[in-house]
Amino acid sequence: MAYIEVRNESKIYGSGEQEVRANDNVNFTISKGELTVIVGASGAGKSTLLNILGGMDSPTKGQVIINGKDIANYSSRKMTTFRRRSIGFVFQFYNLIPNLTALENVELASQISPDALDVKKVMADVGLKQRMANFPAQLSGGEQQRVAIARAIAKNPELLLCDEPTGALDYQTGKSILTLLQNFSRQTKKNVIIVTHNGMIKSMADHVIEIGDGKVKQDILNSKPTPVEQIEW
Amino acid sequence: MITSNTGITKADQNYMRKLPHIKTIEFGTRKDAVIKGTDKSIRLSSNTTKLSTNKVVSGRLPKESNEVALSNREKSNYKIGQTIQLVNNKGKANISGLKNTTYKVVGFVTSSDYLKKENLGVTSAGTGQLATFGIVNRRAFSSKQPTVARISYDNVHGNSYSSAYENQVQKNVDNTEKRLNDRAKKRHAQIKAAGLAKLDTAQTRLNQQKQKLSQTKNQLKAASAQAVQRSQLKAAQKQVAANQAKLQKAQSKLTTQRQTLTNLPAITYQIQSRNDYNEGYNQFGEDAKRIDVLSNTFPIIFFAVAILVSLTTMSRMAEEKRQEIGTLRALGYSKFDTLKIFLIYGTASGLLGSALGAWLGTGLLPRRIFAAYAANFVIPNFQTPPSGFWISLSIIISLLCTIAPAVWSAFLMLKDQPAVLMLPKPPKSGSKVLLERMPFIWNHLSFNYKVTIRNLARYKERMFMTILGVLGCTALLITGFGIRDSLNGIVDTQYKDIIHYDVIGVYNPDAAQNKKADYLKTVDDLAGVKHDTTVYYESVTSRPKRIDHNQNISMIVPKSTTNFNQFVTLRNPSTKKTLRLTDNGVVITQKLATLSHIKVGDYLMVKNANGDKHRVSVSGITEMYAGHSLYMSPAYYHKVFGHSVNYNAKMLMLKDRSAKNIDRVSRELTRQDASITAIQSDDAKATINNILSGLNHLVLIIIVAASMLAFVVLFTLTNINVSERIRELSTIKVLGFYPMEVVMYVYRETFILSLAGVLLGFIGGAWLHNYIMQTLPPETAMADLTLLWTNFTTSGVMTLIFSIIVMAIMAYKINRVDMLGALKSVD
Repeated sequence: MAYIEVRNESKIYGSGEQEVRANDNVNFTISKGELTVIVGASGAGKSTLLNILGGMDSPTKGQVIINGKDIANYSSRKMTTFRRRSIGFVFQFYNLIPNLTALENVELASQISPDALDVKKVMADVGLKQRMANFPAQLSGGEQQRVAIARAIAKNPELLLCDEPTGALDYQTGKSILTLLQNFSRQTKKNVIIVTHNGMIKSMADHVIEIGDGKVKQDILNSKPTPVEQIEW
Repeated sequence: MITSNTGITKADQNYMRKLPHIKTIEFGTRKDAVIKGTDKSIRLSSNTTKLSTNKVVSGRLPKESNEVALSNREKSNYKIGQTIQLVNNKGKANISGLKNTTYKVVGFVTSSDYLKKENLGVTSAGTGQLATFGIVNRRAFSSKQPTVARISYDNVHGNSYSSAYENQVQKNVDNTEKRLNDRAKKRHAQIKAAGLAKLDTAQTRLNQQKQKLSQTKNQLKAASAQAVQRSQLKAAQKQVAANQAKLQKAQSKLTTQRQTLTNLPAITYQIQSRNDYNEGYNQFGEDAKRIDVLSNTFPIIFFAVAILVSLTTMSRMAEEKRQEIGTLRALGYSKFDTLKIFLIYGTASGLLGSALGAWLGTGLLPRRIFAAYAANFVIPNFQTPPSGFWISLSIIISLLCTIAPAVWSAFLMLKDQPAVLMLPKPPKSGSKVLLERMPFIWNHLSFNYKVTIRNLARYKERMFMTILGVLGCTALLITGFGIRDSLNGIVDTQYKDIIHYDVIGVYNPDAAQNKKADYLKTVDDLAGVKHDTTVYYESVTSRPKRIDHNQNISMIVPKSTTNFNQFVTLRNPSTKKTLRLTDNGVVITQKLATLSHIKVGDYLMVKNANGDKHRVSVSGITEMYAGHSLYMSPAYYHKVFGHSVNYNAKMLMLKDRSAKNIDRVSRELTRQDASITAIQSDDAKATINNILSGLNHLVLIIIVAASMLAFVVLFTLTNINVSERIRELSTIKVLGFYPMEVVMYVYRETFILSLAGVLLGFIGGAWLHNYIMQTLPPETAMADLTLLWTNFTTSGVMTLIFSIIVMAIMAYKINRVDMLGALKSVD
């Protein structure tokens, strides 16, 4: 059964001569519990797609049905509630609050979520048991990204969206972050969507959607995903 | 200025000319009358050519004895060519001392002797307060002897109102006063002696005639015995009888003359400095002092905040240019070249701001404030020459504030390598705060409060500024509202709780018996009098140490001390306990005691119009907000002055206390021959109301300034806060914070700081209000220092409303933030 269903979705900026189609009639479905990688070159429209899936932006046309609800025409207030309850975000630049400790950054998310997980346990899960009292500036990039993932997970979201999560990290660290995400998906059976321009990591996913020029170029299901440790790029 | 109650003789004029340090002396005459058909009293003065000259605004000065030039204020009531009719207090067209009662208006003038627009001085005509003035030719007066002498001294230096000038004038006046008093007494004795001598010769002549008459009588008797020519005899007898009657008449006339001569009123030559004879001069000076006090207090707050705001803004500007600086350095520009932009920008903004400020500060603002303040005065030619000193001082300060912080921040950055500079500045890292050491509190706080508390600690200078700005705003508002309420309160307390009488009718106790009786009968017959009592009233002066001019004091001796509290409540200012007049001391009013640094048990030196000094012991200090008064019992009066009280006034309490009714009663009283003047208790009310109307403008200025202060500070700081933390805000927005939560996330700290500022502002406002209300009121008045709780709540609520308005503007801005854009970009 389709957990996420995107139907004839388009995002158009401007009009007439200046019309730019960031997403042009996108269609796909994602099943429950899949680890999905959306891959495409810069400017292909994959981030726009992620924003629409995450309730940060509304499509110009089409339907975006997540868990049976069409969020395409949600009001700003409803979208906020949707983000609050159902979505966990991980950004390229972590976006931690510099003035809160690692633990507090995670609490920031857990406090607004009705069925949040135990914050300390989540911190331990992402391997930051010892660094909970540190401020972001005292953490390395990888550690900061782990905090960001912990913050996303602690809300106990239905869907984890990651925008270039390894973009600012070195190879090894990036790999460990991806491992973390893959494990999360496997253990919780929750949907994780990773947006990247790095085609090499496609093999770790259950489902790969390739975007080019605002359109879906390829939609492949991978029945035998590779563990991240074995992928090289 | 010397004023005399009779004409100044040639001999005395010469004497006055030879007084020490006289530069110029000019004699003149003046006379008060009532304008027919109105209550307005007018003072007609002879024109002056040397001192206190009159400036013609339109028309010309009078040339004939039936012409008059009126005060320029009367321009709306009279036209040139119109005639004006004057009457005496009884409404009759017969004014002693004036040749005519009808005058042709030939011009309008302004005079430096009359600076005020209303209540120009005390008079015996009409209601007792001088309403206007006119200039007439010297020949308009029936007597050639002048009654006024204006003097200028050759040993005074400095400007009017400067203490050097006022002190020297007062010294000269004190000096001259004694000589003049001696002279007046001598002349009084002279006149009396001369009069008596004349009467004596008249008496001798009369006696001789009497003798002659009795001789003739005897002759006639003898003749009748001889009985020659009957008819002739009869005629002679008739003539003798007529002569006898004539002589008797002459005798009685001589006796009354002798009587009046012995009762001849004392001649007074009263010398007063400008502060004393020109009420407007004194008040204008007092008003100027008030402005001084305010202008030395308020701008400091604004200055402090302006400095802080420009410091923050300019250093932030430099920080925003960080990458630009890095790029310039990487391209090979020297450190100085990169600094140039801040130098130029800082100088340009500092100079532009200063130029605009200098223009407003020397032109528009002082003119507006002057217009509000001088509303009660006739002061032409207001001048605002640019003040080089203040302008250059403010330019220096503003340049320092605009250049220094920007250059300093840039200079610190330039120490880093260009490569480092081109990277975004790592956000200021968080740090532990004291509260975290108390886990039982800290662990119970939500992250919202945690982040707020950390931010408060992180940006200390901003915390300081917000508190200071809000503090200033609240304090200014409290002071503004407080000033108004304190002064409004005075009127209430003064006339409801303290002063109960409405008029004091002063009469001449030495007037002829029947005239005095008439006066007292008038008082008894007056309609609408609730209570009346007999008092002795005299205006005395006292000069407290360290003050360069005399304080006028109303000395009141009530005949009955037991029911006097019905007319004036004498009570302790703090305990409100009633004070009683004792037989071994006087009760003086609070402000007089403060000015003279006198406590109960001390002595006060008072001086009457003749310059005689007396020392009185102070046995009590009573609450009073306007005017100085001194109350004593008849017994103590006897002790101090050596003779018993010669009561000269009636204190009246009216049923209808309206100004109109008080005027009516005053007129009724001054109409009597024995009347000297009528003193209205609400004269002080007018003074307070004048101050109040001036202050209403001021309060408005304060409120506007305070609001602007709050807006500028809160807006600048919140704006900086928001732009610096745009990423944080976007992050929490993406995480699913509702708009209000996002706004509160950044605004909570401002709000807490505002609250702290408001609370501190309460303390600051109470202090500032206390300070201003102690220095602001003129020397004759004082204000109620207590602040109403509404002053605090109104000011606090207003400040918080300002804060909320700023928050609303920011909320709008925050909600329009493009959260995606902010998260994508590195910066």
